[in-house]
Parts: sequence; C-alpha cells; structure tokens
Amino acid sequence: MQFSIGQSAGALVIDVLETRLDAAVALAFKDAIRSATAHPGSPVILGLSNVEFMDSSGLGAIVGAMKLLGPERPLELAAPSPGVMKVFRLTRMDTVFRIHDSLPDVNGLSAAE
Amino acid sequence: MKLVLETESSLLKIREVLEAVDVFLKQNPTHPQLHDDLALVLAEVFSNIARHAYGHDQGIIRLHLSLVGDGVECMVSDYGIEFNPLALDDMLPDPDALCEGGYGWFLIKTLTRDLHYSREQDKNILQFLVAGTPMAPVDSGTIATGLPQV
Repeated sequence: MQFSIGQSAGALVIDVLETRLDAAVALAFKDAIRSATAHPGSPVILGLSNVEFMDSSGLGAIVGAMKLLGPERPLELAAPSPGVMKVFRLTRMDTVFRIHDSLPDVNGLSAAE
Repeated sequence: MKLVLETESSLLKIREVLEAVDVFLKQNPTHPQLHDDLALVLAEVFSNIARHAYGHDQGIIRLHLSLVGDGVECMVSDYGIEFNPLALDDMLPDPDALCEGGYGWFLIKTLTRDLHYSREQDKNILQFLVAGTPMAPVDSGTIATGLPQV
C-alpha cells in the first residue's frame, strides 16, 4: 500500500497512490492508515484521485479508517474519481464523509508504504 | 463479442481477471457508466464466491461475458458449496451506523437486471445483465447520454 503523506494548513494529508482500493488490499489499507496516523493530531484528508476503482471492501476499509481515528479526529476525502464517487453515492456514504473536490496544498510530501 | 475467463478464487487472482475484463471493455467500447458498473458488480460477485461459496478453500470461478445491445450479459459459475445470493438481505445498511461491510449485495442488486441463480449438480450459476445505470441526481454534463458508435 503506497501513500504520500504531508501536512496542509489544518490537516494531515494522506494521498493514496494505488489505482485499486478493493478486497485484495482492504486490510493492508487499514493497517497503513493506522501507522500513518499513529501520532494523535489534526484531522485527516484522504486523497483518492489516483484510485480508479473501489469496491465495497475498499469502502468498508475507509469506513474502518474513519472509526479507527475516532470522533475527535475527522476523516475527510478529496478528489474521488466518478467511479469511486458513485459507490459513495449509491451506498449513501457520501452523507457521512465530507468530500472535497481537490486535495489541499501540502508542505513536504513524503512517500510511505 | 464474447469473453470467457477462468480464475482461482484468491483475491489477487480475481484482481487479474478484473483487469482482463477491463482490457476487453476498452477494446470493445461501451457506455462509460456500463464499464464502471460491470467492473464493480463482477468484483462484488467474485468476492462473494471467494468468501461464501469457497470460504477458506480455493476453487475455480468461470466467467462468460457477452456484449448484447446496450448491455453485457454475464454468467458466473463456481464449484463451491451451494450459495444462493438471492436469499441474502439486500437492504442498504444505515449510513450513520458506519458499517464496514454489508454493501456488496446491495450494489449487485442495484446495478444488475434479470438476476438469476441456479444450482446444477455441484455448480453455482449466477446470471445477470448489466446495462449501466445513470446516477441521479448528478451534475449535468457528467454523464454521457448515449452509447458511442462502434
């Protein structure tokens, strides 16, 4: 699971560098989010622009990540592709997540696995 | 045009088949909505078979696709235990309950037509049509309104 991680004005920005968020990587995704957010801190924005495909397992992993962070540390999403957005709309999970059109500017992106 | 594929039921092998379907659809252009819907439905159907029909075992999943008119007819078969997905609850989980699962079958039911299950000897057979459902409401201009000329 490949991420790039940076800090924007008010949030930790995790940009997913995978093209598929599916059953094959759902567990690895949750583990990677857990380690990327190990230190308590600011809200998290998850960049989805590289994700061309997401199934219900991928959706479940994002919901799991949100629960992992807890109510005090919101998980927001940015730049989902139309196909990914459709899964959020169909399942009405677009009502649960705040979804930004684009990823905020960040300082010092670093790659992480 | 037809496509026949066979895969083992591991999640990584399933991904390879889905990528092959992707290539097939790109070579045989369909409605973009249809492409997304079919990829999602097949991923959900295969995951169900891997989890429920085969469980901890590995087995064979066979896929037949036919392009017909505006849609794609699909037949998926496996040799796992009898598993009739039509008997599953197809209610959408309450979004506020933050469920981590339970969306797969709802997505399959929502994005397919003419869904039919049969058990023949030791084989599960699931047949359905994916025709591409436009999402409503959506921003105007984001959805193509017709099939490309092919």
